[in-house]
Amino acid sequence: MSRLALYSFFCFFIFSCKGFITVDSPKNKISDKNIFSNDETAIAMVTNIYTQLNQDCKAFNGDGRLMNVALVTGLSSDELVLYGSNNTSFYQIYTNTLNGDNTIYTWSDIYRKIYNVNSAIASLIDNHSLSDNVRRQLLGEVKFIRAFCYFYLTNLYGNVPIVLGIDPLINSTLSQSSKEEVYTQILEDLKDAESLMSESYLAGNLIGTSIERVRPTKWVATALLARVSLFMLNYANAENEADLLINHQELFKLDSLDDVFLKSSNECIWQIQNVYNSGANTGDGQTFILPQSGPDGSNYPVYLSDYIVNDFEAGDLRKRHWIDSITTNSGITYFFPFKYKSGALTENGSSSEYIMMFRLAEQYLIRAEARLKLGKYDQAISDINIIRRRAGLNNITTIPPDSILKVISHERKVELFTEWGHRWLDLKRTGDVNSIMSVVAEQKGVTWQSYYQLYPINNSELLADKSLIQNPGY
Amino acid sequence: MKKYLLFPIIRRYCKIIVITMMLCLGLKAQGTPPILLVNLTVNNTPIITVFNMLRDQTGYYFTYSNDLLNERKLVSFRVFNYKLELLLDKILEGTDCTWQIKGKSIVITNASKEDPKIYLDNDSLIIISGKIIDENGNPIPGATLSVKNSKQGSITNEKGEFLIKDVVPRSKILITSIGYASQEITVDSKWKSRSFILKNNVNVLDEMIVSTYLPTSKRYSLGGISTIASKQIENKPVTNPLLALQAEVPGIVINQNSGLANSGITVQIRGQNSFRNGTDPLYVIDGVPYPSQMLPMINTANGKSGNLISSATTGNPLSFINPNDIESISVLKDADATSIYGSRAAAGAILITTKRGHIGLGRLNVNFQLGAGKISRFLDVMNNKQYLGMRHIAKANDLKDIFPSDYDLNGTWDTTRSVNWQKELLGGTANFSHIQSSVSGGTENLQFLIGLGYHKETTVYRTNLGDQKGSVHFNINNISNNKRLRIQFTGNYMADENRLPNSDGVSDALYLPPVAPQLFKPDGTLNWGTNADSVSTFQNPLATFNQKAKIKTTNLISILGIQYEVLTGLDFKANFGYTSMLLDEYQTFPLSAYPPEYRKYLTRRASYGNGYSNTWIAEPQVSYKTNIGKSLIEGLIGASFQEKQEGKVNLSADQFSSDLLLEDPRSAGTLTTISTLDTKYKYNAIFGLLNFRLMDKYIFHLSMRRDGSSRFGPENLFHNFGSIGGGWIFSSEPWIRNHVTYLSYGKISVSYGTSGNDQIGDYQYINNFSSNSVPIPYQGIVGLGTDGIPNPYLQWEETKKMQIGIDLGFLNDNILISANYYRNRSSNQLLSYKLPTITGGPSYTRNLPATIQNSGLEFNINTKNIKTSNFTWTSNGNFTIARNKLISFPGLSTSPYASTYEIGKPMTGVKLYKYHGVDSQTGLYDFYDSQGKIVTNPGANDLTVMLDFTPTFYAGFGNSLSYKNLHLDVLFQASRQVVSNISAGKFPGFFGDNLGNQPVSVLDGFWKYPGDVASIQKFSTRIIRSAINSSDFSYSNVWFLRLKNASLSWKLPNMWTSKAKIKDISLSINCQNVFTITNYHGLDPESGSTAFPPLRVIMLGINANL
Repeated sequence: MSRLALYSFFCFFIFSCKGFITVDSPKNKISDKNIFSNDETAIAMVTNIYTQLNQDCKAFNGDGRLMNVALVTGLSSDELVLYGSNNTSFYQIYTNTLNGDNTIYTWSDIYRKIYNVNSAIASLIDNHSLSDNVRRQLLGEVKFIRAFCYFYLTNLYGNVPIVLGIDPLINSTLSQSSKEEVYTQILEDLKDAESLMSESYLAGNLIGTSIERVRPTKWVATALLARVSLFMLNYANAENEADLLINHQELFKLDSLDDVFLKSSNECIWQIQNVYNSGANTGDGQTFILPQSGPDGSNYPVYLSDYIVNDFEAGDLRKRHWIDSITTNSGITYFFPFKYKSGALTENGSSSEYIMMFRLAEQYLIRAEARLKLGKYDQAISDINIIRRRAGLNNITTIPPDSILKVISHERKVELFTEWGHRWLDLKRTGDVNSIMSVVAEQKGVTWQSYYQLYPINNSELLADKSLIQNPGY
Repeated sequence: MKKYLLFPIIRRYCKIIVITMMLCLGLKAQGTPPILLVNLTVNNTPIITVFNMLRDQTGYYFTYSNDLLNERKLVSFRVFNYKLELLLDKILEGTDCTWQIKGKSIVITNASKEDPKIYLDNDSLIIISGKIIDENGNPIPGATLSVKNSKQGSITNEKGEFLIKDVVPRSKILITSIGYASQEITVDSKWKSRSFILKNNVNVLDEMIVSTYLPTSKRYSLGGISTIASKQIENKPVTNPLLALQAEVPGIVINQNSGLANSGITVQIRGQNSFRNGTDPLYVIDGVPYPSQMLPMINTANGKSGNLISSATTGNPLSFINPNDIESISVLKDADATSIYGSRAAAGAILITTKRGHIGLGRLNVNFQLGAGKISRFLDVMNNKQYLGMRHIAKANDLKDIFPSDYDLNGTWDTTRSVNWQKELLGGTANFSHIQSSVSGGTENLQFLIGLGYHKETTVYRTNLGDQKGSVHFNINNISNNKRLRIQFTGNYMADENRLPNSDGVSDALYLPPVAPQLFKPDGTLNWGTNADSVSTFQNPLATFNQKAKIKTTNLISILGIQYEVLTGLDFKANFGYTSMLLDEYQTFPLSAYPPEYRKYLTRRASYGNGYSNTWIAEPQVSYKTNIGKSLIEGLIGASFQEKQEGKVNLSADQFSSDLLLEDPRSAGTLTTISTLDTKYKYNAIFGLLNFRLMDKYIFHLSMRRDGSSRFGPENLFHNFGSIGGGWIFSSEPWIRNHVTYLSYGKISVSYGTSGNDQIGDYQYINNFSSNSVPIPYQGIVGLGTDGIPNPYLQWEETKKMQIGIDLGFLNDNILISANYYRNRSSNQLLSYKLPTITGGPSYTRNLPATIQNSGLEFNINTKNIKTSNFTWTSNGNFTIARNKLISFPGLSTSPYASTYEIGKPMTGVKLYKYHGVDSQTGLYDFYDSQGKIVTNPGANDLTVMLDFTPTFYAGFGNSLSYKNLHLDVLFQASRQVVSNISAGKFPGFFGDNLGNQPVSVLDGFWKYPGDVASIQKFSTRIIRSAINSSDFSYSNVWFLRLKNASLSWKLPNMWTSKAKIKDISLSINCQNVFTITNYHGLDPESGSTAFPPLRVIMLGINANL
């Protein structure tokens, strides 16, 4: 009897062991298995990517993030001037003297975003628990984000590893892929995203629609497709994609200059909502808009360079509306970007501006350039004139094709300055970078080297992944 | 538990042998000498040793009283097949003694005094009966009762019962039993059957030690256990029982990381065996696992429990157990002792047993102590002249003007002042008061103990802060009449309220310039040194105390143990335990803590934290124990179910309308949840133990455990651990015993086995997401963000432990020596492994086949130097030599750890630049690079010197002296280790914007002019060559000798106390950290250069037993 009792006693806990030590996720956490089992948490996971994008630009100390591309590339190019040399990482970016020991973590930040995206894609792809429209929209959104991330990665760093999964053992040994391969991946993701995402701007529950354009739609995938096609010299595609947006006039219209960056902007294709009720309105506004005391080494490190300020045609309203200046007590005048009109939030915490990610004006300029390359000169000029007219400038008339290109590049410079690195990317894309930056660098006190076009990969990355190769020159 | 005591066991099987022998020899009559033949050769051997040898050969016990027989009498003879009776006569030749056999005992009595009276009146003779029990109520079989001045006597039976007929009233009966103190009782005419308790009086070798699941004694253990008893805890004025272990036990380093109440304490048994994960020992209180780390705290002023470990938290959970409630603390070190704790005891285990009730009339003990504590050492820093001199030199060196912000040089501050800020800010006296009382008593069936304690201490600061603890302890022990069912219920509860500063203030005290302004204005308000522009010129250190921090902790530990003896030797046991620690804290940041002109820009803030940590455990066990001939076999099978749940909510509040409302969250304008903690840890195991002891000479131990823990990935939930150990008591071998007579005890033991470390965070294998709360959720949706990269393959870190030990006892165990060599190898290291960020994270936790070796030698000696009736003197000493080494790390050179670790070097070491000297021309520090060339700016590859901060040698030396009613204990501690050398200064020679003071030693040999040979670089207002703080120049090899503890007590003569009907009263002085002799210049060589040092505490006490 006692033997039987003993036997059953041990059987009891041998079999109960595994059950006993299994724990569920704690109540302040939710596991990946559960998170994609219902619409609400799946949406919350993807929405967190946008939340983080806004959190990223709240404060910028020079460590570099995807959301700081405008500032970092503005310093690298001829757009911004650094005040003082206290901040080592700013100083290295500004003087184009980055090296492998730098502390610019744009690379890391973008790859962290890609990890979140990849883990969402892994759970979304064969998911049967979610409503179909939610699954499609979310999958489209994250694929678009991935394409957006790789676009900046490859344009800042050249050849980069294409990470599509989440297994750290596989990912930690990946080597770089060529820019072409990266673009192929971007196109694939964008095509998927375009077909998966909704045409109308959705509310947070992905059922209703929203006035605010803070969630990616099919249209933003189209916008990036247009840009990528232009970068890949696929002009027909670029024209077609830009066409789609420009022709969708019930949704997208050019606004007057002061309204472009408002959250009610009609020109907006995608914006990022503010998640804070104190501090910065938009990160860009907070950093660029100078106080009466002028720039300083920490909070207001940059001001607008003369290369931009003096490049506007006489009468260009963009200079009046999008650039402001202060004159300090010591009599020095500093110009600064004034596209966003508000630095800090107003007292009640409501923001009038959101961070602009994509806007229609760029699409006009893309289409103009594509049409020019396709030989449609008149149509190209007409696109340019739409942008010029909004800036209070006269139409240009028929001019030789290579002059048209100059005009487009000038328009891009003055229309898109200090936005999303357009200037830095254009300099490199058009091949003007060496000639222009040689002059600019000299004024910064350094000698321009062609390899500065690509940022170096941090040495710690190279140490952790032996398959990575440092960009040439570094 | 006492039923496992050694002597009953010996007695039991001896009896079997004797009975067998008696049968063989056909002996029947009691009192008739048996015809036993013995073989024995002795040469100048004490008579008592000869008796022991005879006992071993014959199984007969010798009973005698010390006043009858000179134990030290030496005898020599050689006999072969000699009759025992003849030999006894021969041995007792020349003494007044004679012998007789009573049952299983040979009773030696005084022949000359024997005067058998003839009692004519038989009616007056009485029958006496009763029972002999030990202090725990267990019967003592085989105890001898001899009626004085008669040949009458008796031996107790299995149940400890006795019966003697025809005893003369008023005669005296001596009760003796080996291992117990003898007792004399007087027979009165109205005898009633009653119990007599014999007190333990055992050889230190035979004291029971609490180890794992089967208790043992030092005699039969395999060496890796050290124990201290309540006596060694009570006379130390400490509030954390771990501090009572300091210097007492070899192989364990205990560092108090702050002198504030409930401070963090780092405990390391036999070195650090994990790179980055917890290396705390497993704490087990009365069988219930107890947390080794507090919940994460908001206030971090009182130091972490762990130095190198990232997960270490502030404070120490053992602070919430009253040391006075503790009966003993055992430190388990080797595989034999720890492997039964499986995945939790890679870093050893510390078992704490609380006090229990004893049989007897209710006893009341009251102890009251009052005392004071002070910081005993300060760093020698510059005075005003020295300080200002250097400031001017630095300015001149840099060709810098005196700026408006140079308040010390531009006339803003009164430079005639010269304040030693350490004395000013930390030089106060902390007051201690301590009351402890307990009641205990009980019958054979039920014993109880209730203890109450109250402790209060203040701080050395110039403000009213401090800690208060109140505690209750109880124990109920119930034994059924048939002794088969035993129930034990124990509870400990403590409530603690600790008011701390927000920072410990040490850096203010060290670095504030001697010319800094006065703390108070003449009107008594705080002085901010306001200058002409109404700008405060310094942060008044006392203003920081306007910030308040309070931590309330309550701690409950309760244990229920049920044991039932199904058959003789077969026990079913089950232990149930529950511990619960609740934490409630806040920290306030009132505007009054800031300079007045900043207040309009600032908001009043406060933080609140509320948490719990609950553990329950259930451990069913079956044990069996039997004697076969001269051998003992015991085995145990059990299972363990454990669950720990922790939770905490931290809130941040701001926009209060007044400083007075900061303690109330409801008064806050905004209230944000900063973090929530919610974790569950589950643990399950089955285990088995098997112990053999053959012929009292050969010991063999085997243990196995299969463990499952919720901290590991689904692929690796379970793991097996085991150990094997053997011992040989060679002193029991006749050829040693008969030839090496000065050797009374000798044992060699070996053990080998594995145990694991699961001190990583919970849930690391799950891909978890948590809420990312922001003021305006994105599209109204609170985002869910990932916690990091999971690893479903997480496993235990495994430590293979090997130990060889030798134990020797000389001169009747008056000198006991033990030496252990150990070598522990920990592999499968869990590392927070750095990943390239293309994987998404900076790191993830993963097992790596790296191996860390900890090896060392532990030595311990106990001596009884003098023992006379008035004076006794005993000593004990221990030392440890420890080495830590990284022996393998596949792929180290290509790993992210390449510049941190080195094969063959200590894993606990830190790589530093090699200091060369000060360039005699530039006056700046130079270093060596990896090629040995002199460089000014060394890089990551030039970290060539590795210094290990863990002590490589440490020792303790204690003496205990008693003269009549006076008792003195002193305990010295010695250690050798590398410590950050504050004499090199924060940035030596740098006196920049924060106007920091520096040690006066900086003035010796600083560079002045080109051509100077100097060790400190030229003074400057800028940080130049900051690599100096990462060089070997900033560390020094330090030794110290400390009188850790001294305690003197005096028991008042009985004639004084008996009038007051008080059993006894004693007065005492207990001191901790009395003095330190060291070559170190900083505050405290043990806790480091900038930590708040442990206080010197002196307590006066009175102790009364009523």
